[in-house]
Amino acid sequence: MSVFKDLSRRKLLRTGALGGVGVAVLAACGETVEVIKEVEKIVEVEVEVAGETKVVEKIVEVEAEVVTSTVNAWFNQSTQMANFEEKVVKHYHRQQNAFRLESILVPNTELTTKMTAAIAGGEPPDVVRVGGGTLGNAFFRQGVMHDIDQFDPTVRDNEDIVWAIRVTLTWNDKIWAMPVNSGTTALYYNRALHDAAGIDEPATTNPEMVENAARIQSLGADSEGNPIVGMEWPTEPKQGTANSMQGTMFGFGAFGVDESGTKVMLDSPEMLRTLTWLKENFVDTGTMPIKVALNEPGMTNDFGTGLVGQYVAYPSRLNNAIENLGIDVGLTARMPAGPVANFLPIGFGHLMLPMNAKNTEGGWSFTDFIGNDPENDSIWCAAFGQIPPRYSFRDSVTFSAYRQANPGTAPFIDGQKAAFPQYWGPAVNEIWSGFGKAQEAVVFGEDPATALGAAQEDAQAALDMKLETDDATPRTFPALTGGYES
Amino acid sequence: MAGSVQTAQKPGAVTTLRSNRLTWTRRATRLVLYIYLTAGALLVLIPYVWMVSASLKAPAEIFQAGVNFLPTSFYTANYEVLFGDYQIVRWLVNSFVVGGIVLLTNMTFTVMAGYAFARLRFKGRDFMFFVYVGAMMVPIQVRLIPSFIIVKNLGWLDSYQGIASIQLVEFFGIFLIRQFMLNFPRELEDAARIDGCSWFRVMWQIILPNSKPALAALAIFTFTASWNNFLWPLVVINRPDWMTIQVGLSSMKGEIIPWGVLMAGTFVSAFPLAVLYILLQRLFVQGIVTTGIKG
Amino acid sequence: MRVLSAWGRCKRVLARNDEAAWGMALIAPSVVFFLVFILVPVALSFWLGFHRWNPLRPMNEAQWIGLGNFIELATDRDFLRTAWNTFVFVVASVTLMVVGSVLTALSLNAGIRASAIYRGLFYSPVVTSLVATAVIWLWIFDPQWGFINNVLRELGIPEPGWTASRDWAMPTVIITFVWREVGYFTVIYLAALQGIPEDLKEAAKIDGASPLQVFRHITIPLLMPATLFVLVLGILRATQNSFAVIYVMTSGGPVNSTNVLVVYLFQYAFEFFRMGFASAVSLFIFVLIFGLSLIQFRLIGRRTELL
Repeated sequence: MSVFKDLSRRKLLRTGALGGVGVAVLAACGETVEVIKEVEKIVEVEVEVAGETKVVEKIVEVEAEVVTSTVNAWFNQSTQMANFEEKVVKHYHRQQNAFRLESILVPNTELTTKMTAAIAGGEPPDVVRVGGGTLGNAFFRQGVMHDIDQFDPTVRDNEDIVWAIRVTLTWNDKIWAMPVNSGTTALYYNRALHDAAGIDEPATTNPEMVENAARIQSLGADSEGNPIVGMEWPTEPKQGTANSMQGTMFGFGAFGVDESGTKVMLDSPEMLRTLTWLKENFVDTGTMPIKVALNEPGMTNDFGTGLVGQYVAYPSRLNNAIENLGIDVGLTARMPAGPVANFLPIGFGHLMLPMNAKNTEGGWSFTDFIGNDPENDSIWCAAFGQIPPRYSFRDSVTFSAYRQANPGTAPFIDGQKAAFPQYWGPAVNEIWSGFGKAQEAVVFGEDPATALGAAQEDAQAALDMKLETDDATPRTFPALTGGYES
Repeated sequence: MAGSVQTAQKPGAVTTLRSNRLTWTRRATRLVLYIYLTAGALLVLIPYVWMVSASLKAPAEIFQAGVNFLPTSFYTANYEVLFGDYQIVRWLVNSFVVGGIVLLTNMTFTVMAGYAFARLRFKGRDFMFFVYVGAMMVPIQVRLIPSFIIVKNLGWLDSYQGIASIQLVEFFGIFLIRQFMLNFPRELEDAARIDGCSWFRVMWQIILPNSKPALAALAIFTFTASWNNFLWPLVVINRPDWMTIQVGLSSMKGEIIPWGVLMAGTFVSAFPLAVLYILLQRLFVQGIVTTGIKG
Repeated sequence: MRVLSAWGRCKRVLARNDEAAWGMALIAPSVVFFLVFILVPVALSFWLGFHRWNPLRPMNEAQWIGLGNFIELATDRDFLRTAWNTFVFVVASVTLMVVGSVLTALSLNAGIRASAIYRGLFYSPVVTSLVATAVIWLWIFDPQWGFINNVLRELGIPEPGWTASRDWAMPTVIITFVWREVGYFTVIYLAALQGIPEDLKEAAKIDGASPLQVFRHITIPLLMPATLFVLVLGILRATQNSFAVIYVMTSGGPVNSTNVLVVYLFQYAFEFFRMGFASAVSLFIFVLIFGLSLIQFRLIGRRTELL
């Protein structure tokens, strides 16, 4: 009898070995990695005791092959990739053995191109970090991503996650990505220039922002004759401009699309008021430099010269670079309130799991590891100067320490209380790049009504076309509060 | 073609006068040439000087406004980060290997095809050539997804041959070689054919040795095209070890760009090729070509 | 028996037409490459021009819309402006590139010392990363704090807005693009100049021709094949390779003044996810450039077969 037991054990090991060979073959293809570990196994052994055969359990140490598989991950936040590998990926590898992450950097601007090619060719990554709801929606509404509910049904209605993020990632009653970091826009201001102009506190309302810009601009030039600028606004004729301007738009009560999600509102009175305000208070007064294709990275660079008084951006622009700049800039304040409301757009990054990937299980393992755990998510956010998307995660050990070391995160955290999602539905890129072009036209002297009228026409046509094959995205109308006029 | 030219009748006095004038003209021409080249070189150099100096500046210094071409001190940290945190050596090696493959396939297949279009007569030659000229004009975005599917099915993702595959035959190269070989006098070939050379031997022993400048141009162009290729490698590479230089450099751009490191990387990536080209000059300088026609 | 005689016949035919046989054999590898990597993708792309397709969706979901994309193209306000900009950009760039590269090649071929180093120098922009180039020039051209305007400010000359002005944005991208490309065409002309037989020039000089006459009657005609190449390729590169420079420097602005066809195409394909429309645009571009090239072959190509 013990022979049989022996045989079966041998058979087990043999199967394991065969499996191991199989794995080795796959490993040659780079799919999986073999790891040999000492594993304790409990085996039943028949022992003869006093003429009777009894079954006894015995602990045996066996060399077993543990299969570790590779997870292909795409990330689009470069700069400190080494930092990321050190802090996040190594941590992940230490905590578990089943999956090894192999990550590759895909610049944000090329992410769409590479992703469309990969999906069309049947080689999508196992997990991908995507920035923003717009791109995320563009992907998952085409049915190329797994929903998260099948892995973890608690994410969709989890009130610990900022509402604006959840609603952006939800479609057809499911949630399609795991949020991992977030942040709202804030005002970046140069302390030295403010002091020189005699301003004590950064602006908290739009009129104050205008006034501060004028006062800083009147400083004229620095000691070497370089002109000083009061405020920078983006002028890139692309949707990036709209991204930076969302906070200002919300402040005036302007939205891109109406409640039904079928009518573009670029020519609404509120939108017109926004661009008219920009024109009258900044363009015509000369307190903003006229530049072409200025976007957030461009404004950040200019800010680094120390000659720009204020600008508006999402977090992680300067936070990681403040120390390196060596000058007293880069302080942040909650975005100034508009007349109607003090809402802020929510920016966020999330992990998605493409369909037809080879190792979705591994992809989910990593996604769960980061997204559902306070410390892990905080490690991620701290590495990139961002904020966890869950309220409770901000109090984790890691993030509390980070907050103490970086007081500049406070306005972003505060701003999340008033976060409101920007439009992300069909024709989103056409609508917002239409706005970007209109704003650029205004900056270069065009009349706001004309510019917005032209943009409205094109955007509405684009939306109508896209709605033939996609669902409208209705907008829940928030209560308009927080403005300085109310 | 040579036109009718008045010939000088008497050497001697006339020649002396003429040669004096020639010397002055030659000197003046030389001067103009030097001025032009120096001005041009400066124009080319200004961005490079800025690039190199930016790579040697601390981040705070890079953004200083004004005319500051020289860094105040040698800040080597950018290069340390470049070689430490980024795998720039790996990227360069990959680009060299891929470039080498592309160079090899083009120097054979493309040259062969260019020769055939220029010197041989066969049915459908001109039609094929115009089709090739059209092929040259297809933008990479159009070829991207279908080529990706093909390469993926060949199992060539994340491999040298996969990255090189889209440039194995460059149609502008065929066009180039053909144009350069059009000028050859037929007499040489005819002489060789009468002697019993096959067309292949004509190409190998007569045309090619006299086409060195064109071959050099092709070599440097195909290698450059491979070196500069960005979109295709980006799409085909999924593992960081296989990144080529342009893809690697672009991965340095994120929401924040480490300018100093990026400039250092750009300089390091441009430098080898410029040096290569300078070296190539010496190998392929054309000597006096005899056309076999005298007088 | 039959097989042998057929093979014998083949051999005899081949022997008679070995020029044709060699011709086909020598172009065979390129034909294979063409079929696999060009024909299939191009055919697909042209076919897509008559469809509406989101590139994220499977290809069999593409919707046939006949000439819909082309009609939309013809009536799009932006498109007409873009086509005009492309024309201006191409004409200006190619002219500057041809003139610049001919002059540079002539200078480099004149046998001055250290010309090898100069040649390497002039070629280096071509091998520098496109994006880095665009970024550096953006900084140099920056209207507030760039090098050029700083110098002009010191000299008291009025500063143009460069990329910040509707009138100057196009010249700015043209300058940047030409800066990058002159080296490329200089190499071509250098190679062409080196291929001009010295004894032809000697013979003319002995006959008393002045350098200018040598240039006009020997050099220029012999440079025609190269010039055809430069023109065709120059137009091609100005139409397609200008993408990175323009996209990074101006994104097509300000107010569409530098929006060219290839930027327009990219936007529709990868930002608006309308691959069908983008394919229609690229079909249009292709027909245009190819047509232009055929014309050039007619005009100049005739003069290339000389000896």
